[in-house]
Amino acid sequence: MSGQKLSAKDEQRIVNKLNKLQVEQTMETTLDLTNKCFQACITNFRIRKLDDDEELCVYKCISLNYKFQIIILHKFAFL
Amino acid sequence: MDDVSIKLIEMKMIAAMFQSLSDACSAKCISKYTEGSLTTGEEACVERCSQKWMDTFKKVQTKVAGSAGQPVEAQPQQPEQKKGWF
Repeated sequence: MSGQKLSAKDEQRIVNKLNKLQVEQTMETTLDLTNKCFQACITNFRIRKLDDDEELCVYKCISLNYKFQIIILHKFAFL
Repeated sequence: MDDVSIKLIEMKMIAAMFQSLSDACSAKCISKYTEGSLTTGEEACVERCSQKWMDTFKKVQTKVAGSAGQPVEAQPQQPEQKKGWF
């Protein structure tokens, strides 16, 4: 890893690996967030579908998490 | 990405989803382990819980997929992989 130019084949391998990693990361994020928000929001198991409160809570949970990610990403970038 | 790794990721995802779902619903619905079988209430709870978990997952998925950064180069694999999840 001493700054030498990578061959085209290596570049391709990296791109492939990154794509795969990204799909996996997206899935992991989705799952984590689902678990987090489900844990926090869903309390009523008397009806089958999400009621209005729960739905609102899930949306808030997602957007809160998203904003948190942005802030922490900025902080991390400038550490 | 080739078909094999897409399939593998898909399988991994389904397994992880099932794991999460059963963890979440056993935490929410099963409180004590004194009986050898589920009570009627617990059974109904589990059934609704899985439904709700799936709904939550779908909501999160649309949001996350909508706001995710662009893939490094390949865009067309996105619908393919979505189709397989359900």
